[in-house]
Amino acid sequence: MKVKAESKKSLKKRIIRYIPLYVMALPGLIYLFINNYMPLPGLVLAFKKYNAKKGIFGSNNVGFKNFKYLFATKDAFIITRNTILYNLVFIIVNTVLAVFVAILLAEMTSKLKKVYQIIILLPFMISMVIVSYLVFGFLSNDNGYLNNTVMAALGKDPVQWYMEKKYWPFILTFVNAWKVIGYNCIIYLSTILGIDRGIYESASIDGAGKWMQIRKITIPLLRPTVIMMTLLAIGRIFYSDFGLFYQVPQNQGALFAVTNTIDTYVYRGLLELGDMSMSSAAGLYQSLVGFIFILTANLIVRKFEPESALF
Amino acid sequence: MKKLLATMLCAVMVVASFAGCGKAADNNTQAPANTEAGTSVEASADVSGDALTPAQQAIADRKAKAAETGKYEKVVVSFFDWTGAPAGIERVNSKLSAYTEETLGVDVELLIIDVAAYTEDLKLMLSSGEQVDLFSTCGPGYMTCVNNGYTADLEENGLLATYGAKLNDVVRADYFDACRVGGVLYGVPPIKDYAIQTAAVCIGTEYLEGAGVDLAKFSKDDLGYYKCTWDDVDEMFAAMHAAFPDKTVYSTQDNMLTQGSCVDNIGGDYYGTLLDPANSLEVSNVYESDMFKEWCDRFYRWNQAGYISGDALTDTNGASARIKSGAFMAMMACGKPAYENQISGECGRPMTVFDVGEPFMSSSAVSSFPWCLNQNSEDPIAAMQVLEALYTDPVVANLACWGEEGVEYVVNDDTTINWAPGVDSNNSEYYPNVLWLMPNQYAAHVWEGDPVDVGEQTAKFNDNCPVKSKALGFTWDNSDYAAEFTALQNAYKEFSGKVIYGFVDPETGLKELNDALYAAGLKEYMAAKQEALNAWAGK
Amino acid sequence: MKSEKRFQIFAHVVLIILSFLALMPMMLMLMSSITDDSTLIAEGYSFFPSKFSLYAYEYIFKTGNSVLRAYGVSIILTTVGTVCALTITTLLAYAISKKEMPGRGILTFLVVFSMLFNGGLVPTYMVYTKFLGLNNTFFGLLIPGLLLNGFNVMLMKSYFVSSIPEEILDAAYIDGATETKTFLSVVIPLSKPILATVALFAGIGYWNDWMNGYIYITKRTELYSVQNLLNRMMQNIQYLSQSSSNVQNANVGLSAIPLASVRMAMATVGILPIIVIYPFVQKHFVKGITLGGVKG
Repeated sequence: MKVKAESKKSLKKRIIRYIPLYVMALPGLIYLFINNYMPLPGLVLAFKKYNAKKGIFGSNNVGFKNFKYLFATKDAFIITRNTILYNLVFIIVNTVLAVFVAILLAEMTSKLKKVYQIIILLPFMISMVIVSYLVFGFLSNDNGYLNNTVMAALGKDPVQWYMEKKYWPFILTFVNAWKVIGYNCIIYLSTILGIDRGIYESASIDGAGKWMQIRKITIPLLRPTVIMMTLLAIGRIFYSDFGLFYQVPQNQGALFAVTNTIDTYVYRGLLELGDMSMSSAAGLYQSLVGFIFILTANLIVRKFEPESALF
Repeated sequence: MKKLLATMLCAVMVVASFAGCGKAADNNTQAPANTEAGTSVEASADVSGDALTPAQQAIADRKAKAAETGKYEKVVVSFFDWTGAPAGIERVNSKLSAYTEETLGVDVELLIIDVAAYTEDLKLMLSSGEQVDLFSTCGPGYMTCVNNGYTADLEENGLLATYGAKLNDVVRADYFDACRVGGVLYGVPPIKDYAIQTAAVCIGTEYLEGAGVDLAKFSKDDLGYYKCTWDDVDEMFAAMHAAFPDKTVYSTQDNMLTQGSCVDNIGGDYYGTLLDPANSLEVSNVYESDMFKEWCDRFYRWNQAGYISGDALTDTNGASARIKSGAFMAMMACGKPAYENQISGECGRPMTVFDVGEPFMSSSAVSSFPWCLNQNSEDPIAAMQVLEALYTDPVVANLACWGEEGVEYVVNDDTTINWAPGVDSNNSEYYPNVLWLMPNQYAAHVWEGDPVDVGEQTAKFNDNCPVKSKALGFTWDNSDYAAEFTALQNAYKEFSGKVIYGFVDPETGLKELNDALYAAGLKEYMAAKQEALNAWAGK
Repeated sequence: MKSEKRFQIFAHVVLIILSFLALMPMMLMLMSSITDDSTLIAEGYSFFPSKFSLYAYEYIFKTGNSVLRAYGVSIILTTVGTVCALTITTLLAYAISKKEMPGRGILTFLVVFSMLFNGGLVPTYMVYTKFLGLNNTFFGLLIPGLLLNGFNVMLMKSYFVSSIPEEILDAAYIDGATETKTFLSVVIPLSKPILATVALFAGIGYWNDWMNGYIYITKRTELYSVQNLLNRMMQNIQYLSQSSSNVQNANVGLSAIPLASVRMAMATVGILPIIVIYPFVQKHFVKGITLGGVKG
């Protein structure tokens, strides 16, 4: 009884102490409520046959019918496989490369590092549509830079890039990395810059070389950020960058086996059907799976490294 | 647990707020029905008195209300253009309103949205209760709008007969019927060319001359285009290829069925079609037909001969834009009156049009994008009267189609029009350039260079079309077969490109395509279509 | 120190390669944008085109809406948006970084949950138009979707947890500093790297956004931002060229627009200011944070 009373008291005390923090959190929470939570009941649309006359809530219930098209055909396996595999590869490749580049930048003494930083961020600034034209500029069958210049110089036959699906997992991974590394790298860079330089200095005095410092100090301190980024990426594992998988391969049929993801599949069907309930169903399905994945992953992290868990 | 509770609490609050909104929307939909009933009762009482028709009465009522409140009721009319809201839209709207305040007792606002945003914006506005009274279904599609419940029944309580009677003078009854879905009329078709002259092969005149093609041996068809066969086309292409070896002969687009054949894509897609639409209502798979095989063989032959670009599958440029660039020489489209002018403008050079196909009017030609009335409109009567004016009143039609006289355009002596001094398509403040989706382009002026009677010519072209689909007016709701449709779309996209542009032998390519389509559920889809068609024909 | 030198050389080599990979396509983009349109279609994209033309830029700057005004909208939007977003994000992130704060778990969960689920476009649109009436206003560009991003909140929270030693905060508390004072005078100055990062991300988000303008601005074209304006042009072209077989008359619209070069010109017009302005902004921004910290 006594213990409970005390903890209650301390809870009250803690609440009082943190009142300013609740106030600080308020604008953000109000915004989340308006922007993210108020529209949420709209998800019932996934179980309705939408009719404007009846409104979202008045429309007829149809159960899980709107989900059927996501599972009905043999395509379901391919699009799910593609979506998950690409995401896994992207998580690994992007993390490794971004951490690597971030460490290089952080340890660099030259003033040029600011220039490098801006340059590698540039690809992130252009839209996927433009990226798709640039890729096309390089890979076009008749006029592409690779076929016309590079392959010719190497004395090789031109490759019909947009017909050969075996190259595309690599092309897409490369394009994705090219586009997002600068962005991800900045995240890790800011974490490294937040590390107390004193730690490095004392390590240096103890005779630890550069590689040693990176291995023993930087990488362990980056771990929580890496884990968090990975967890958040896992939450989006059923989503795919529509532009990357639709625009960049030029919506090319011959490549579908390796480029069709849940998003592109749904888009091709719904573009003409224009059915809001079905797109709502697809979104709900993607979110739910992501939610389950992220909860599971978070549980595992919490078990081994509670500090790094999301919540 | 706590987390769950918190989330649920949020959700409940939000549901409450939403329920309120839904109700408000319901009220809105009921209100107009009441006013309508009210006015028609009033109107019938008036007939014996000062003999105002119900339509005139409605106008008088609105004017009286405006005199009282100092503000006219507004009708919002939405459609798309190629570049977004024109710079002069407010000026044109105020001109338009100044006129309609007099004639109809309403303000009219044209809400013009760019083509790429239109579908999304319109969907959002229609489902959230934003004011849009009349809208063109070109973009979202007629059936999508009907299926989502966006559209009002135009004949409910005699709306069309009472307040849009003049529409019957400009739109024939069978064209109205072509827009009925399940017997209900949800839209009025724009007045345009419904028939097409299929397979119009357009070739740059300079290339024909350069290749030494003798045009004298061809006779001309009714529209004034050279009549020829595919063998003739092959011959010409061969000569052009020899004369201009570094230019690509043929600029491809996936249009051999839409513009090059008389196959009827009943229900709006090619998964199950009428191969002989003038005589039979049997649904069959066009991709297994001899006609389609012929197309693919032709393209395979052309591709082997080097007439087709190696980038045909990935090039997203329009067919005519490529010809304009000077790297391509020929393309296929469909003909209609005054088409040679149009295509020459698009291709940036004089083009010669060859008529290889035959005239055809498909079942969905009339109903592909009618004008509809929002079911949520606060005053359907006013909206209907504005719609009538758009179809029949030259002042309204001219403002909507061409903008303001003297500012955007000037009228020539022969009633055709041209740019006002110093104005062109790039700096004009109002130039939507979408005549073909406007309610009635022929109620407005004709552009210089086109025949003054292009309206009559087009009507005759429609009337004289010998091959009219038996299924004219059949519309189909495929939302119950969405799973099959999505799979079919993906399968088609996956396997069609290389065979229709002749990159693979049609023997293997067509088999691959058909296998994929059947695996995606083509049989079930076609059966459902046939059933709906039979039911429709039975009525 | 030999290893140090070797490391520096290695780092330069890697980054030069990466910079080259990043810049080469950009150069291709720039060159294509000043290539004659017909040449581009006929010969493809090239670093050394046979015929130059500035027509694409002429088209962008002359047609319809003013690009210069759109720049103005973009700059104001990005400035106001970045400041607001950074403030709200930092405040919320700091709150949920406090381990002892009761209810922290729930709040964090609410943030993560908001990243995973969304109610869909139509319900969101209804909230912003019917309840808040933001359509066709500047706020319609500023508020929906961009003001606070769960990802940035988590990023910042993670930084606060890992890089600001608890001992310093506890010491400040014991010294009698309130939570607010600690936040302003201790936490903010120590958080420069993450503040700069999140500001950059928020800034990029606002600068690049076109969706809000697309959905919420249907009438007031003077509120088009650069990206919105460019994307409209681009999407219209895209729509036209892809559906030219469906919409019989799409070609009529297409013929008026220089197709290939104009897309590249648009992309260049969209990012050029950032390349030019970014270094200056960053410099002053970091200074600003330092000053703010000292004042607090």
